[in-house]
Amino acid sequence: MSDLFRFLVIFGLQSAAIYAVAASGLVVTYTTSGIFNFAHGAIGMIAAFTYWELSQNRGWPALVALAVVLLIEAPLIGWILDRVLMRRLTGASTITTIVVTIGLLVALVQLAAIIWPQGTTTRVLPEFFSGSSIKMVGVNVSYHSLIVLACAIGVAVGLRVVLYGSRLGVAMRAVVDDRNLGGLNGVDPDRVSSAAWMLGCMLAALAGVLIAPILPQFTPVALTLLVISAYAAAMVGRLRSLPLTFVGALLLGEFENLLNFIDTKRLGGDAVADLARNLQASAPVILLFVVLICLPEDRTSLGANRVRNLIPRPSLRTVTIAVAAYVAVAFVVAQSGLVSDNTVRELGKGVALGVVMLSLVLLTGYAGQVSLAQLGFAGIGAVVVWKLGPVVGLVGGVLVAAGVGALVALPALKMRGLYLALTTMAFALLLEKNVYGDNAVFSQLKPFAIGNSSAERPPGLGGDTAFFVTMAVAFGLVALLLTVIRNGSFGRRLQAMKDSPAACSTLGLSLSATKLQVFALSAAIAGLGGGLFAMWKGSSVGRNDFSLLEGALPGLPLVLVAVVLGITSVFGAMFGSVAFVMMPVLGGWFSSVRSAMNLLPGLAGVGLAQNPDGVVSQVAGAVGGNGHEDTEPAGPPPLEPEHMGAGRPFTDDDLARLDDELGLSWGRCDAVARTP
Amino acid sequence: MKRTSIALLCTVLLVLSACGSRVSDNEAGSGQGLNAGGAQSGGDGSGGGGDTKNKIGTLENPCSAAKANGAAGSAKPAPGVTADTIRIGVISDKKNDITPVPTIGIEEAVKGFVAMCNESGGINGRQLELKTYDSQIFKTDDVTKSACNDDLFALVGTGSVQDQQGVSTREACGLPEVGAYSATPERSTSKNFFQPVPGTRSNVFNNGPCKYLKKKFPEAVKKAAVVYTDVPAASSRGLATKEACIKAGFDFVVDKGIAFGEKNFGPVVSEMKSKNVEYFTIVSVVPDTAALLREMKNQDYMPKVIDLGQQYYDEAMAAEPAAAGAFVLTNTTPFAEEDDTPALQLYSEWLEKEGGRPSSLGVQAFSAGLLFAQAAASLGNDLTREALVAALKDIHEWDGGGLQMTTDPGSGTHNDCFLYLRIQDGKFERAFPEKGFECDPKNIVKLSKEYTTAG
Repeated sequence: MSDLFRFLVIFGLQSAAIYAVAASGLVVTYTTSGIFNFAHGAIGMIAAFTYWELSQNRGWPALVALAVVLLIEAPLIGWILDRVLMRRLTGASTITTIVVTIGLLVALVQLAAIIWPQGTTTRVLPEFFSGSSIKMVGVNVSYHSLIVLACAIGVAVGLRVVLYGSRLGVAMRAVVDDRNLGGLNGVDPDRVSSAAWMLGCMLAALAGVLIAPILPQFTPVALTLLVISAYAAAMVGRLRSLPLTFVGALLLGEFENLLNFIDTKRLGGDAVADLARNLQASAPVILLFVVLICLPEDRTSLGANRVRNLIPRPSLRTVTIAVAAYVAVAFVVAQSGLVSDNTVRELGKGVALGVVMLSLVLLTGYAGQVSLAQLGFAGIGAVVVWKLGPVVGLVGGVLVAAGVGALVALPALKMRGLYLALTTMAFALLLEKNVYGDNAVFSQLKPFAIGNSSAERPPGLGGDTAFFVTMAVAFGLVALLLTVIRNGSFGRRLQAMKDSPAACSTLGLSLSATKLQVFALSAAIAGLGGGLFAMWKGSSVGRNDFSLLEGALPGLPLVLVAVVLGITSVFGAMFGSVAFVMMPVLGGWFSSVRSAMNLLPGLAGVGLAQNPDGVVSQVAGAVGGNGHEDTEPAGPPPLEPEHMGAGRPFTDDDLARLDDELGLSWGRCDAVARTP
Repeated sequence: MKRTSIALLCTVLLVLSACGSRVSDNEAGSGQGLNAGGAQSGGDGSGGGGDTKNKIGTLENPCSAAKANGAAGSAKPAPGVTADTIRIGVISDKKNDITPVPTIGIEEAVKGFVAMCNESGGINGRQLELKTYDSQIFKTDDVTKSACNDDLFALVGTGSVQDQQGVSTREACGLPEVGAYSATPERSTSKNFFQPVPGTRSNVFNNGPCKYLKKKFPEAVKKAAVVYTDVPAASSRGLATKEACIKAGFDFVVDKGIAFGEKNFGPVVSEMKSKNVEYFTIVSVVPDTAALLREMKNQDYMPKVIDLGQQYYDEAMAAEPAAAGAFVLTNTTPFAEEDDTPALQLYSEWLEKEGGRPSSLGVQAFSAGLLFAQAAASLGNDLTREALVAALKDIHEWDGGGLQMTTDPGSGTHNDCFLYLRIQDGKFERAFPEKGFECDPKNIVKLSKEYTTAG
C-alpha cells in the first residue's frame, strides 16, 4: 500500500509538476496571443543553456544568473519575437503560424548546437540545493522537486490572478478575441501582444531552468522534446484552461508511474510486460492522441479562414515540359560523371523525398489540410518494400500507406489546422516509436528500427543511373497526376474545402468523403516516395530516415522546406527536395557555411511570416506576372470559379459552371442569382 | 518582401549550381580533408615516449622509411596505394545534436597515429594519407558509401555507435577494416573486419568479471539487478550480461528496461531498494547512469556493488560523486599508469598534438592503427587488400606494445581478459588485478541464445 502511495503520490506528483510547468507556458501564450508556439520548449532550452553558461561556465552566482535569464533574457526574446515575427502573423492562416513556430524551433535547436556544440563535452546543470532532500513515506524528495512543484502551483495561481484579475490580463484576452475591438476600447494591441510574448517566454525560461537539471541528458534536443511530451497536458485544457492543464499533467504523470508500478510480468507474462514497456515509452504521445480524438475541438479557435489564397494552376503543358526537363537533367546528372557519386547519392534521396513533398502539395497546398505525418507514411512504404521485395512491395507499400492514411483521416475528419497538425504529429511519433522504431510492438520490424534492413531494386533497374532516372520519371508522373487533379473537379472541390469548409457543406459537398480521399491519396504518394527512397538507399534503411525529430533526415525541416519553397505548386517540391538534401552537402563542402546551412531550414520557416505562399510562387509572381497561367482562352465569360463574384455579380452561367465543376446536380440557387 | 524571396531563391540556385562542381568533392564528407603527414613537426625527439624510431612500448615500430625490397607482387596496384603513399580512412561519430557519444577522441587518435607513423618514415617509406568521415550517429551507412567511392586501401581505427549500419555496404565494396572497436555483433562478425580487442558477439561472452565479483561478493550477487536503456543495442547487451553472470552464479531479482530519455529514475530505484538489490549493473550512457546513481544516493540507498562497463571509463563518470566506489571495466591500460607504459605516453603525446580528448576507445583506435601498420609493413611491396587481410589473420598475439590487454585479433577470438578500475575520490584507481590484465580462456562462455541487436 505504501508502495502504491509512493508511486502515485510522490513519483506521480514529481512528473506531473514537470509537465505542468512545461505546459502552462504553452497555454498562456496561446491564450494571450492565439498562437500555438511549437518553439516553446526550444525557447526554454535556450534559457536553460544561457543559465548554464552564466552559472556553471562563467561562475556567476546562481541567483544573479537566474535573474539575468528570467528577468532580462527571456522578456527580451519575447519582445523581439513579437516585434519581428508574431505581430506579422495576425490573421495569418493556421499553417503559416504552425510553420513559422516550427521553423523557430528548428532554428533555435540548431543555434544552440552552434553556440554549445554537442558531442564533445558532457554538460551538467546541477539541481537547486543539490543533494538536499526531505523524507516523505520512505522516499527522499529532493528540494529541487519540491521547488518544481511549488513553481507549478505558484504559476497556476499567479497566472489566474494576472489573466483574470488584472487589466493587462483582460486586455490580453480581449486582443486575442478581437484585435480591432480591443483597440477600439482603448487597448494598445501592440503593447499587449508584446507583454503576452514576454510573459510566455519568461514561463518557457522558468520551465527550461527547472527541468534541465532533472533531465539526465542536458542537450538541446532532449529539452525541446520534453515540452512536446507536455503537449498532451496542454490539450487536456484545450490550450485555454490552466486548471484543466494541471489535471492533464497529473493524468500524464500518474499514467506513466502506474505503468511503472504494475508488475505486468506477473500479470501476463513476458509478452504483456514487453507490450507495457513499449507503450510506456510513448505514454505522452498516446495520451496526446487520445485527448485529441476524445475531447471535442475548441470551436472558438476555428473562426473563418481569413486568408484566401489562390493556388496557381499551371497548365498540363507547362508541367509536362518542366517534367521532361527534370527527367532530362536527372539523366545527365546520373550519367555524365559531372557530379561525384557521393553527390548523386544525395541527389537521389532528394528525388525520392520530392515525391514525399508532392504528397504535401496535394494535402496541404491544394486541400489545406496540415499533416506532419507524411514522412511516417513514407516509412510505411519503405517497411513494406523491405518486407515484400521491390515490385510487390512498392505496390503493397502504396496501398498500405493509403489505408493507414485513411485511418488517420478518420479522427481528423472533424479537425482543422492546429488540432490536425498535432494529431498527425502524435501519429507520426507513434509510428516511429511503436510501429517501426525502438519500441516496436511487432518484433519482426525491429531490424528496421536500427537501420538493419535493406531494399532491393526491381529487376532491370539495379544500376544507379537507371534507378535515378526511374525515380525522376516517377516524380514526373506524380507531378502530372497532381496537375490533372488540380485542373479537374476534384481539385476544385479541394480548393473549395480549403477556402471554406462551412460553405462547402452548405453546398452539399461531402467534406468527410473528400478529406478521406485526399488523405488516402496523399499518404499513398508519400508511401511511393518512401519505397523509392528505400530502394535508392538500398542498405541500412530504417527509422532514422523517416523520423520527425531525430535521425539523418528529420521530418520537421522537410515540412519546413516544402512549405517555404512553395507548397502550392509541384515546382516547389521540385526545388524544395533538391535544396533539402543539398544544404547539408553544401555545408560539407564549404565548412564556412556549414552553420548557415544547418540554420537555413529553420530560418526559412521563420521567413514564411513574410511570404505565406512560399518562395517559388513569390518569385514567379515577381518575375512573371501573377504566377499562374491558364490555358483556357482568355475572354470575359465563363469565369474560373475562383474568380467568380469578383467585380460583377454571379450570373446564371457562372452558377451553372460552378455546379458543373463541383459536380452538384441539386439545382441552382436562384435567390443568389437575382440579387443585384 | 520580394527582395527576401529572391535572395532565398538565389541561395537555392547557388545550391543547385554547386552540384556540378567536382573539385569541391575532394573536400566532401570530412572536416579535414586529406591529412598528408610528411610535414609534421615534432620529429625532434620530443619525447617522454622514448625513441619513436625503433620502439613503441614493447612493440617494434612497424613504421619506417626503409623501402621494401622486391617488385610488387601483383600486377595491378591496389586501391589507394601509390609508390609513395597509402590512403586510409577513419569513420567515427563526431558532430551530432543528440548526445555526447563515447566515440569522441577516436578520429584524433587515428590522426595522431598517422602523424607518428609518417614521422617515422611511413610504411616501408610510403606516407599514410588519412581521410576522415563523420558518421554523426545516423549516417554510418552514408559515409561508408563515401569511403567506398574514395579509393581507400583500408579503413583504420573506425568506431561508430550505430555500427550495425554500413556493414553490407563495406563488405560489398571490398574495403578491409581494422576498427577501434565494435558496438554490435553485426560489425564484429562482418567480413574482413579486425579489431585490437575482439568482442561484442551475440552468443559468446567474457564472464571473467562476473566470476571475480562472485568470488569477492558472494552474498551481494545473489541480489543482482540489471538495468538498460530500452533501445535494441543496449537491451540485448544487458540481457546477454545477465545470462553470462547467471552462469557465474548470480541471481537477478530486477531486470528493467528504462525508456530512452527517461527523466524520473525514482521508480526503478525504489524497486531495487524494496527488493534489497546489492549488485547493480547498467547498460546505458554516462549522463543517464549518473542521474540514476544520483537518485540512488538521494534515496539513501547504494547497492554494495556497482558494476560498469568500459563505456563508463570517462572523466565525467568519475566526476560524479554518486559513482564513488563503482567498479569500471577497461580493455586498455589505465591512464594513471602512463608513466610506466611508454606506448601510452606516445598515444598521449600525439593525441595532444591533434587536440583530442583521451579515451579508452581512442587508445584502441591508436592500437588499431599499429595493428594495421604491423600487417601492412609485413607485406613489403605486395600491398593488396587480400594480402593485408591474410597478414592480419596471421597476427595471433597483440597488445599494442602495452596499450591494451593481450588478444588474438587474427582469428577474432573473443577477448578473455579483464581489468577492474574503481572510482575513488573522483579518480579511477586499479582494483583488480594488481598488475596487467587477468586472463583465462575459461572466461569465455557460450550463451543459450543469440542476443542480436535487432532483438
